[in-house]
Amino acid sequence: MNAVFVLPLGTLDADIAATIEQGIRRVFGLDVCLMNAGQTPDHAFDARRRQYSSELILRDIIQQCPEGALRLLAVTTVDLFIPMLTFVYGQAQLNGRVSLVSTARMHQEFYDLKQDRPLTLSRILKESIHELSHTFGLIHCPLQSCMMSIATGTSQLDAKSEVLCSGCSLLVRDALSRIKNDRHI
Amino acid sequence: MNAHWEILVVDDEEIARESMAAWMREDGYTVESVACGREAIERAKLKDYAIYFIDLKMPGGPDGIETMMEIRKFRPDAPVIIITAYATVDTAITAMKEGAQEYVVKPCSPAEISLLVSRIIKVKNLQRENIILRKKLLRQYSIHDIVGKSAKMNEVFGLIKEVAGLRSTVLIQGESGTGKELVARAIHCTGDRAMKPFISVSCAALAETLLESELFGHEKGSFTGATTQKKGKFEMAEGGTIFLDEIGDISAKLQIDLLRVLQERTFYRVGGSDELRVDVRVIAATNRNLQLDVKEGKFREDLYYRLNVINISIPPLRDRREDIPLLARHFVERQSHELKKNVTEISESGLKVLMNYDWPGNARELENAIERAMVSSHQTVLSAEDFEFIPPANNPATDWRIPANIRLDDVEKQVIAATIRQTGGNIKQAAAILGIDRSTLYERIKKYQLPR
Repeated sequence: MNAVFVLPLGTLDADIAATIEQGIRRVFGLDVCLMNAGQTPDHAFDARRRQYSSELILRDIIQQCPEGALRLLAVTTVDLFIPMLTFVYGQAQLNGRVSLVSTARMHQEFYDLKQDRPLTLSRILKESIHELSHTFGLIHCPLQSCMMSIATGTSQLDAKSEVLCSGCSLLVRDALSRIKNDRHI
Repeated sequence: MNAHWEILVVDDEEIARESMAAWMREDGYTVESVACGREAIERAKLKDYAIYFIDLKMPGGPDGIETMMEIRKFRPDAPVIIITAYATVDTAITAMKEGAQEYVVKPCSPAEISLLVSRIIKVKNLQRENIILRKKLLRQYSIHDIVGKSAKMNEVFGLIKEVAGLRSTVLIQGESGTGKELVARAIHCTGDRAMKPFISVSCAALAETLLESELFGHEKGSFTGATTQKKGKFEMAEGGTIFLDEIGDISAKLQIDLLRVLQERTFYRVGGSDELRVDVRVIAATNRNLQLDVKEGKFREDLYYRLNVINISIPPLRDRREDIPLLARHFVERQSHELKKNVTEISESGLKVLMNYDWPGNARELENAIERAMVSSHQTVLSAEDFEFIPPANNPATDWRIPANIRLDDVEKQVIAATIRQTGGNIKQAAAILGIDRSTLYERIKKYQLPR
């Protein structure tokens, strides 16, 4: 199968699922297969930090990645961390098959601000494509407007556009054509 | 591109180590991770990382600070970031005192780490750029391994380029260690004979008969031990250049033979009767005052004029002190490859010591001094302490013996005469050195009837 599998960890609102699906189709030109929702693994929970370890979740979903999935993007509603950092928006296997994104910090309500649904959807779209692009071998882009630029906070996240720059787009196309040749798809 | 830079993450906790490495890789860095201090030290011996992230607490081996101190013994400039979950003022002070670039309490914000890394990488990029620019600058100020930016050396470079394409004989004069052979090679390599042989002969190293056979070759049986025919250096240099070092030391007989080669371009092998013809460019060198030797009858005048068609005089290092930093860095760079030592620079204090010394052995002595300092130094930057073996600068106030049986005005006369001689008759300069004004100096010159 030639699709990106999207695995909801927890309840994934319909508009969020639709935003991610459309984004993947637009940027990568790939089909999307929405999987049945699963649960964020309990063992990834750190009671002291009240956050979930993105590394442990990633290791867990690598095991669950269906054979036929070209790539898998897990979308969780919980807040993620790695031990060194206070939080991460997501994590991915660079040049691997699996990626993970959290929607927790995408909501304005997280920062005690008034809800802004279009802004939330835009942020989720950018980070989902960002993490998925890492699985195609892309690293952070120095152009702030590119979706592959690093975001360490919402201001950087919101400064990004909803597209990849021409350089990163080319890298995605190259990666896809290499995969196509390897898999004869 | 960040891919140039490699980062080492040291943490006994696997999840912490691997997640940090993965996060840095997404930024394009090449990241390696190890679980203990000992392994980190071993890795650092093999490779210089751009940044070392080291966890403070690692049980069963050296902790973060001990690991950092061990690494900094052989990589004194290693940018180390100590990470800890349990910050105390004491550990922070110890870490910074022992040379940690940063002390980070985890977890810290992604923005903070991102900024920290980019700041260190920016410095690393500047350092690399600096090295590249230095190399470019050195290339600009050098020709075939001869280094210098002084006006005097620029003249030498100009002459080398000018005479390289000619066939004329060149006489290179200069003190020992000034690089006479390098200049000869540069002339050869810059000209159209570059692809032909360059044969160097030290005339002082061999006895007269041996040198004759060495230069012109010999026929079989021409003397005891001449069991086979042998080609001489002139034949070997056919089409190229022969460099006759220490030409002032050759015997009277050889002076005649050499004169014939220079005049006729022909010679005979020792014991041979066939006249051999050669196309060889002759470059001779000496540290003697050949003109004086000619006056004293020690060197043939006709040969002197044959050799001295083009004269290149290489100034001693003490007369072109401005070249010392450039030369010193050039030697550091060369020796760091040869000695496989990671020495990259000389500090300002180190350069000051080098600049203040007179270098009677010239560039060769400077190169030996750099090599000696590099062998014994464990730092990446050579400092004044590494050059302690160099005698301190001559102190003019104590460098002479005070005569006890001489009139005071005789002392004054001699000092003034010596100073005027030293400045080449420049009264303004002489007055400044003596610490008196010009009118006083004129007055004394008149009083002591000194030549100006």
